[in-house]
Amino acid sequence: MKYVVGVDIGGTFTDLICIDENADYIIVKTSSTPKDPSIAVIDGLEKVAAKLGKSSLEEFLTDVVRICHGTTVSTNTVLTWTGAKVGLLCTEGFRDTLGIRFGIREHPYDFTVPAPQALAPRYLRMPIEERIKGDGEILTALNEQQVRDACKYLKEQGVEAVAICFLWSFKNPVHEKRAAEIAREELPGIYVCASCEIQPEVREYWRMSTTVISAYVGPNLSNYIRNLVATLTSKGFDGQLLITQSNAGVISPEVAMEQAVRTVLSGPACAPAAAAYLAGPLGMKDVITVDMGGTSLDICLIKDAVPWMRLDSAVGGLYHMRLPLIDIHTIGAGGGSIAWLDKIGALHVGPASAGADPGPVCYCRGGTEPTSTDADLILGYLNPDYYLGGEIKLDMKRAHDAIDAKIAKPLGMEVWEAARDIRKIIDANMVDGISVVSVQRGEDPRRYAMVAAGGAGPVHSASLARPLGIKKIIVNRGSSIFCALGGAIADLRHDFVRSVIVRSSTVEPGMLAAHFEEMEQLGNKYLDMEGIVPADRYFTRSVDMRYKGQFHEVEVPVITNNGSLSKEDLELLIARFNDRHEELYAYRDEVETEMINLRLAAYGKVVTPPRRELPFVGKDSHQFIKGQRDVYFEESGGFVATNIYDGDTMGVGNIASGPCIIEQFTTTIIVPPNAFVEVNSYGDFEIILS
Amino acid sequence: MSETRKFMLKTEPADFAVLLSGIFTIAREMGVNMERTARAPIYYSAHDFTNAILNLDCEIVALAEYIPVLNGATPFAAKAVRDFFKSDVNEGDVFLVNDPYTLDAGNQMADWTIVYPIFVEGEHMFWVANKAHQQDTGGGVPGGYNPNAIDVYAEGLRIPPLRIFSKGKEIKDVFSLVMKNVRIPDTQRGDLLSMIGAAKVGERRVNGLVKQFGKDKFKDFIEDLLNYGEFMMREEIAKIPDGTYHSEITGNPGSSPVVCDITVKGSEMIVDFSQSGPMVQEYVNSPIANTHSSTFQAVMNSIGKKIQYRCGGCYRPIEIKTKPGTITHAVHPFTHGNCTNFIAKQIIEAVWAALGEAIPQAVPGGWGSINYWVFSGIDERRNEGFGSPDFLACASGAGAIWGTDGWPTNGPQICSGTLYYPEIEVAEGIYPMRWEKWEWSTDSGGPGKWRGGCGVDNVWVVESEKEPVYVAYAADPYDYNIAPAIAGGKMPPLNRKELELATGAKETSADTRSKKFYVLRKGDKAIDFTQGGCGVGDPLDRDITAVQEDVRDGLVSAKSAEKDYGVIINPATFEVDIEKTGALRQKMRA
Repeated sequence: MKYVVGVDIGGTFTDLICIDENADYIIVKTSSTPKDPSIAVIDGLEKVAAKLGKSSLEEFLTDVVRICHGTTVSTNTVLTWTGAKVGLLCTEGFRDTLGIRFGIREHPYDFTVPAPQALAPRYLRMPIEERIKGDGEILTALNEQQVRDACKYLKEQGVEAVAICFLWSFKNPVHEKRAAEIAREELPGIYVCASCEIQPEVREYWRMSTTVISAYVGPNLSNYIRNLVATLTSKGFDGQLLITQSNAGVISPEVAMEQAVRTVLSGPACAPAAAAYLAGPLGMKDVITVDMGGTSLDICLIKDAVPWMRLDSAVGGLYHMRLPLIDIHTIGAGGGSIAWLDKIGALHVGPASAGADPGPVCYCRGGTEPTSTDADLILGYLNPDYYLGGEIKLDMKRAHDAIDAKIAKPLGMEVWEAARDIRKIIDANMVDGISVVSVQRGEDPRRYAMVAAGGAGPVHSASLARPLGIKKIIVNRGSSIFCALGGAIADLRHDFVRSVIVRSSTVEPGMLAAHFEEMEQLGNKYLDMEGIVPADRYFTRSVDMRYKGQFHEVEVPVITNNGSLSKEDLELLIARFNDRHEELYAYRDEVETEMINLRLAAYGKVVTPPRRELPFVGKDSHQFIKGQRDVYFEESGGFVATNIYDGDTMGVGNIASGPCIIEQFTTTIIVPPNAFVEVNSYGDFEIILS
Repeated sequence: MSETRKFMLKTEPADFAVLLSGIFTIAREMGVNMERTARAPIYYSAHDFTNAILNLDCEIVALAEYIPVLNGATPFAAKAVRDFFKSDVNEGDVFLVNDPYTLDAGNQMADWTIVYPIFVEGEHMFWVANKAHQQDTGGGVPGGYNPNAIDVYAEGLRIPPLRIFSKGKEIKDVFSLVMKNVRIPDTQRGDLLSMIGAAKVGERRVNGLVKQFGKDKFKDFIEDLLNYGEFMMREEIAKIPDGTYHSEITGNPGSSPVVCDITVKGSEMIVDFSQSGPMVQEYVNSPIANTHSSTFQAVMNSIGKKIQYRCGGCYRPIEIKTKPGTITHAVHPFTHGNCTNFIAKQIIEAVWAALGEAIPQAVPGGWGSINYWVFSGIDERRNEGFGSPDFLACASGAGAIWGTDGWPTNGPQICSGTLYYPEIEVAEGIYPMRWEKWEWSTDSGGPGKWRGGCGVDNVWVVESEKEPVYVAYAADPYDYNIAPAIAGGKMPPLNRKELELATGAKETSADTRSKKFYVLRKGDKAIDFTQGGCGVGDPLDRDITAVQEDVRDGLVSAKSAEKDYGVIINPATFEVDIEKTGALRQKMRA
């Protein structure tokens, strides 16, 4: 039997999923080891081997064909300020592009917030005599001696990585490439990356910042990957190791080390792919995923089986990068979100969170501020004796007292009313968050199904779906290891971009086709390296377009079989841009359009076992009722006696009508009145709202 | 002193929180919509716009805040439309207004406002006011900044409250008349459509929210929200000791002082500008909408900086007094074209300075003054017109505030870090110029225990072969002083604005200020230095390591470290001579 393993390293837990050729899977959760995350990976693999009855890790690993590895190493490196000491070579006269950050201040009214520190400090930003003009022509030749001197200085300063970004290098990369060559000569063993190798796209601040982030996280990530590869090899693994990226595709370790920035923000990126994998066989291509954990809610919109992408993002809200990534909209609403009163007695929930430690008051780990989870407990949604399979006992009295003292008494209400209001507010914040990724983009949520994940997701999903008009919610049994699953099934993916900046009326289709062709060749080069045979490759192409004079572009997919483009194809492209613009921004115009960037994604298919249907057990689910308790439902206007089902034992075909609660080892599913839940043929729960 | 105030919400606590999140989400969506569809650089890049939802009393209910100095002017535009058209307002009407001298509608003529009524089930419930700086506003020069204008007519097309759509239908003759009076009509029409599009999005969403909660509940909520803002502001004002505080911002000969007297009593505050000097020749006279808007910005980013929901209720406990005919209350037909940059800044800093007498640790130090040209002409690469302020010369440094250094290159102060500077690759793509330098300037931030943020050296050269580039001086014509230093902080160096022509001739800052207009040709070079912000606190108290890092980073010279901060640093090794430093600081303090 051969296996595919997905690994996801989170802040608290490292999740593993091992899928065999029959699509049977086992799941392992192990505590993360932040100092050397690979310890937890090996520990988890050992646990998997034991579960499979293998005599040793080595025996198991020889049967593993692929390990897909998701990691927060790069993201955490930025967030915790533990990256490399980075030097930057930049065009003379423009030393502070990185520090100016195009002038933006995140809090325009509060001047007490200090300016963010650049990831390459000013004394390590080295101006180099050189200049390329906007048309790509060389105005001032590269001063090679200056590059060498700068490298020597940076070496003396003890830099661990060097980023290079010159003006207009996406038009003519010759200076950057030569400077990188010199730097690699002068600085052996030091991580060097140039913007033309990372993201050759117009707008130097974004390109530079993206490149600097890559340099900042590159050394840490490379060390980590090298260690992991060495350890796995020493344990007999000779399959393929793949690293997940923020675009939800995977890449080889070599490419990940070279293009380290592509792994930043990759943490939650694979969850939507997992959701698409689950929903696909059910015939659902339009899905909104909501993953509610302890501190935040991650929302992603999947349209026509493709997760929504974005280009611009800011790591930790401050460090900008521009490359295609899964657009996860995160808001500060989780089980640990704290309810508080401001000085006029208006009630708010979040964004401050008690997280997992100390956690909600009812965890009895020292939390004193009432949280969303405490409110859910008071309202009867959670079982004090069966939370995380009984691993944590929830203390109802403490939750009650905290809500009473901090919220109910000051507002002159009953504790349950305060709990109800806390829930109402956090649900409304989440509904607003979902509307940002759907309604505000011209997408009607009523057409979408919801996939709920995370410990608290299914506790709240029905309350979020109803106001948005969503009729169906899917909860996977393994919803807490979504990212590991998403990685395991992800295709390889390489993104490329070329900035052209032309008017659509004057553009030669041949010129565009040539760029696409060149990018396709590059993609083929990478996929060759990764051992993907041509039959398993596919490519998508798009153009960033705008009306003449606009600043922001809209990405429009190019439909072509082989990269060739005719005049008619171009006309179609312009028509599709107009439609898309109107869809997004409520108007279209007659004026000329411009094409700014051409994008190509090169994919390598991996073999994913199809989901397996399970045998039908029966509709009747009475035997799985394990008790009853009073639960508050808005629809009923108060508490009602509600059946509690043992979700871990329910089988395919089981139906239960709401109001009811399904308790599972990892999560609790709330089914409100006027709704029912059914176990579908893959063993997942589907809640149908009417 | 603290009064005890009680505050009761009419709305259920949960509904209040839900609606609060809901209404601000709508305003932000309008903003994003406008930002992403705009054409003119000043609007998409400079973020020189704002969106507001107002009640029928024209109090701001919710805002998408882009440029702070425009926020407080939105009620004036809505009021003018309301008072002009009275009951003659129908669903689907769109109004346009810009004139500062008709019903005090506008803050500045290049800032056009789309005023749009929101109807819910046939009842007019709200106004939307979307205000955005236009690429052109007609008048004597392209781009709306006419330093030689002798009256408001030379500054642009005066648009009183004007209906451009009636019940959803464009009034073509009227709209066309307006478009015939601007220089780049197709772009500008696109921008207006974008503003109207955003208003319609607001209309749709507000309708959804009102229907969800019912009209009565929603009206209660609006009342609560405004009371909430008022309460929050009163709390902040009450923290200021009662008394009267005075400030005066002056400039070069010919200027007129901005005089501010703030009287605090309990939780209320009177901001009185009526002692300010008379109107001036140059185009910086401030119409009343601009004075009010500037004052609110000054209050919000000093005492109100922690207030999260900046609605119209926050304005209630503040009374603003002005005297018609002064520089802070311009009247017809005086010029005012650059009042949102100059005089707005001085009004804001006058408020900070006056408050600074009472609460120096809560107000920012003054910001560097911006120092730009407005350039225009034909870009021969495409044979198309262009016109824009040089935003790269607006990158002045922020003033420090007690406890925090000023941010570098964050100006103009009236934008407070909401302006996106175009990147060089963007600027060189849309203007026929090539930049030689755009980076922080050493010693450009005012010294202080907390240092002012650095300003910028901005140097560009004309590249077009045949077509000239017209430049109009748009820096401060009077070189107004930065607000007096706070708690011993020091001033940044003065701006410089020079030209080096291809002929070899040089124009000094004094030349450019007096001549104001140039026709530049290939190879002509503009050299601007835009100053940093003011320091706060005595520079001799600045942490020695911070001074050392500034010198290592090249932000402060070793010379200035010695002269201004009393720190002796070896400029090669960046080592500090602790002993000599101690002695020097002691001597300088004495």
